Amino acid sequence: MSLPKVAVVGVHGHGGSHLRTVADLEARGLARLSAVVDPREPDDAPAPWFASLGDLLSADTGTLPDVVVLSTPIHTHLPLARAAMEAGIDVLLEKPTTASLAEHAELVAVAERTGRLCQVGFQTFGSHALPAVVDMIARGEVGQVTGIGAVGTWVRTAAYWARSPWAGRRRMGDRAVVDGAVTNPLAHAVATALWVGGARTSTDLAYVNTDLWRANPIEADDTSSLRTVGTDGTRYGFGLTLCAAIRTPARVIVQGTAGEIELEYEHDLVRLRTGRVVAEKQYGRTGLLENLLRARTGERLLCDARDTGAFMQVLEAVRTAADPTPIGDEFVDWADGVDTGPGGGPRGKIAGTQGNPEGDARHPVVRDVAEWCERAAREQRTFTELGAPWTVEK
Amino acid sequence: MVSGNARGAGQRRVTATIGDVALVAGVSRATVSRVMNGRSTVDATIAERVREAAAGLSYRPSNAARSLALGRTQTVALVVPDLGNPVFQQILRGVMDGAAEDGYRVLVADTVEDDQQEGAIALEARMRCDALVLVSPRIGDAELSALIADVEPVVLVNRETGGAAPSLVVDYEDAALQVVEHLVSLGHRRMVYLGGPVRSASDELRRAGLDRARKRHADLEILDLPAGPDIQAGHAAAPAVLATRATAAVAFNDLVAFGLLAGLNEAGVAVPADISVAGFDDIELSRYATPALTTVAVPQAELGRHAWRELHAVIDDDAHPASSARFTPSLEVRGSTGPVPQGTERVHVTDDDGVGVRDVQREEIPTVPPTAAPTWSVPAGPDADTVVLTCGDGLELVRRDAGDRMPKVHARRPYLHPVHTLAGVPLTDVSPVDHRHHYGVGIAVPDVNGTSHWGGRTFIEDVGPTLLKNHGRQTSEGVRVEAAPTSRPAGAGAEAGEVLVEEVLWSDEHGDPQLREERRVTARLLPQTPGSAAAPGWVLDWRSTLHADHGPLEIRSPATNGRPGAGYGGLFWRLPLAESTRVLSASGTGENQAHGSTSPWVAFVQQQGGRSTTLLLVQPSQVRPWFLRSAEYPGACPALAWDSPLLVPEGGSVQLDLVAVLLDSALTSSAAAALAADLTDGGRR
Repeated sequence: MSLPKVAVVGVHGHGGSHLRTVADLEARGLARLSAVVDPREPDDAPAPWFASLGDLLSADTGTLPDVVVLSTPIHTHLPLARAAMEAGIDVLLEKPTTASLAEHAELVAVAERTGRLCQVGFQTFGSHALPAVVDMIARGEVGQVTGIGAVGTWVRTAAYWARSPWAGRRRMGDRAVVDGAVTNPLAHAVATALWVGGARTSTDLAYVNTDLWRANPIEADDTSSLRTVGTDGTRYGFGLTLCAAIRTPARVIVQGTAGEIELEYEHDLVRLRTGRVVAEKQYGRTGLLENLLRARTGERLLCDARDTGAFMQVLEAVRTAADPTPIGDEFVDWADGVDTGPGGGPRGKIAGTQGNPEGDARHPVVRDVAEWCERAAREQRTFTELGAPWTVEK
Repeated sequence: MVSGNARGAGQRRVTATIGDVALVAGVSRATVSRVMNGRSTVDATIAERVREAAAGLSYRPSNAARSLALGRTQTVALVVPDLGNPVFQQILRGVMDGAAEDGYRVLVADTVEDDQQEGAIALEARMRCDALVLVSPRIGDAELSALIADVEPVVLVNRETGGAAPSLVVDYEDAALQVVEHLVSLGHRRMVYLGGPVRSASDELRRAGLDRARKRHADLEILDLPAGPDIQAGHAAAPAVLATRATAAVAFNDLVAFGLLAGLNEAGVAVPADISVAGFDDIELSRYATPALTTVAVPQAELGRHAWRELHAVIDDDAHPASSARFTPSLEVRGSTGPVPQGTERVHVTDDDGVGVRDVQREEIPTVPPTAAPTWSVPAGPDADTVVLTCGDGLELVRRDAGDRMPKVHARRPYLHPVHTLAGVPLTDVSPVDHRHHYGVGIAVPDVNGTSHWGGRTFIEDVGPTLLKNHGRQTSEGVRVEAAPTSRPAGAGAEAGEVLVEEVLWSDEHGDPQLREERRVTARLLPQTPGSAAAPGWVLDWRSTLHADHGPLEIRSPATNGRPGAGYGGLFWRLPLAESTRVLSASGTGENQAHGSTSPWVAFVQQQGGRSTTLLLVQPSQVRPWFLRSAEYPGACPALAWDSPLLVPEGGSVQLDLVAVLLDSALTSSAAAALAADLTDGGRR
């Protein structure tokens, strides 16, 4: 039995974690790392190095991998995935899927034409908590579902927005980048909520309303609310920010007539609150690369590119919306350290609105933003509809 | 094969389990089991992967496991320590309900609390079915790990396993903390815990919760009294509980609490007046104990239902169970817990030779009467519903209860209880044996447009008192504290105090609004006449306006409905029974003189345990006929519908006012009359 060969494209930054995953699968006798691809040669490459995917695909067919992991900037997703699938290789593509809905449609078409597998790296789709939540809903634990929301209140410092040339950009030249709160750091919140509610493909949402704001001096959004309705009538609300005072675990909230389910998707943790019971359940998780390898022998893909269509509809709405509106200075405090939340390290100090302290750890805090995000998710209304102070015209 | 020896202290486990094989092969335990049993239902490539993984790990299924079938019987077994315990019955009910949904049946195995036999009984049960639910196993951790390996698939209830099998646990630590915090909020500082079985994991969790409470409150004492898991244990512990002189007892579970309640009752100790009692589990009976038991509710049937869901996920190849599930209990506050008794002495026997007793009481009367005005404190948290009136340094005068926890049939309403004299003697009673629906001081009216805001039975002409489904509800829509207006002509040294302002919505038995009440309750110290030796007292001033905002009102009483003299209904004050009660009024001494009179005031002079108190009730403006009882029980109200219905047109309003003076001395008629005159709206104070 020959082990499947895996190549990792993009090994600096996030790609490092993919290398560790492959090493783990190697140790368990499930796969073998056959090549690493990166324009920059790694100091200590664990496998033969290629400068580009083209170089790898042009090499001797005997060294062609069975699977590639693409951990590259978003605007390269479609061309790289297309090239790989056309060469007969199955693909694990880092999220977000592609830079536009049109690109997504093309990606799905390529997968169908070539018959290759295209898995997208929304890691939470491997969480056993997700099917458990869907099962709870189906069994009526919370009665009739009245709305599904996601709340993400995170902290991102100036260093984050300086991490790459495309960080915080909506476009570079004529290419879409869409590196904002909704579509990148908190993309999991959006994708997971939609998955739980049953919105999977690009025809599952009737419409999307965006309400995009920013407190950082960037092009993209960092504090956003969205409202969307599925073609089956399910209402979704999102309150997402990277400008919170402290980072808290992002949550998907399923509200029903008889209770609610809260899913902390980063931790595979489910809280069920009904009139009858208050319970907290901890789940495990299946790796998406492992699942992709098994899908080659018949198992179902956990995050097929097709099933990220609903998320791509949201990304499209964000991409084509007007540029995010700056939040007035009077609603923003600047902090000069990172407060990672309870038990998470030294507490940051909130400086006055005047100072704007220098340093890479500085970050804006939109006043009361956590409460407004919670309401946006729970009431499925945007910040503007709710009348959040920074949205009110003076 | 005894695999319990496989894991030495601090050593790596050398024997692979079915779970390890499942992990490496990336399949469920059930699939491994099927392959190892040579069953053909497994895909060939998956079976090969499982065999490779098993070989790589040198996995050998135990003799027991090899002989076990899976998926053959559509039956699972529930293994419990004692089926006589209602808790385990409810868990069984939940498992059965859940399993039935998926077409499974449930067998029960009872280990009769014998940890020596537990493993053998579980294994035998597993021989007869597909999977197990192990509830509250008493065996040690090492034996349990070995047992789990032998009997998989299995889920555990009330026991954690370190990941060997899915487990569902109740957060009893938090439960214990909730109970103690509740008792602390009622003023208790000396408690006793009646411990459960020694090997019970849930007893240890409760103790961990008690420890957390001790750390939070430096002045809190929780004594430890070993008891056991059942009614007999609680009953036997009653004398020891009394000997601790604790003011509150927390029992290991509801059964123990029942036993203790019975023991205390036999000893003539009142619950909660003398001692508060709380349990755990909220078994069905706890609502029906007398008094109803305060307990921490654990939804046991839900626990069972969820245990089945997880077991089903273990059996099902396409699902993944939760590795662990934690259930949070909720406090159910009922009648068995109450405010800490004022004063530390408890009277078990009456002693007619009261010299010594009198000495004790003299110590309780503050030698320096308070001079600071009483103040209301309204807690901020949504759960803390008790509003308290205190005076000076922590002297508690009044508790206001929202009435949420009253039985529906008593007509839920906000009320004041206990209302104390300055020396700490309560002059109210709540839900007494003679009339369970009497609650301290509140507005109780038997017939508002046909709805009872009085509670209990309704008088029907020619039929008599009849239990109807006509009980309304008074709901507090908001409580706030305001400074008292200074316009009142204040006597020398009169303190203005504060007003507790409350909006109360009266609804009928269908929940439809009937009227809006505006309630203003003020408290102030009674100014002392210079040079007077009279004991100090204080004044409670209650003004309510009923607004007919939701249509016209017709307020009636049994008297207007065919039972002459029974004109009760209004701002009603229920006093406690006492050794002697004497009624004074402007119409003369005695119940018959006061009842039905339009005296501006009445007074109850009571003797109890050698001390005297007086409750003076004054109608400060409009004087209505008094409804008053003394011989049957002490209580009174100005009657709204004494002999004819009170009609209020839509948009109109009606005023209910009562001023009360609470004194630690016996007042004479003339002194009462003089004091009352001062307290009318035109009076001096």
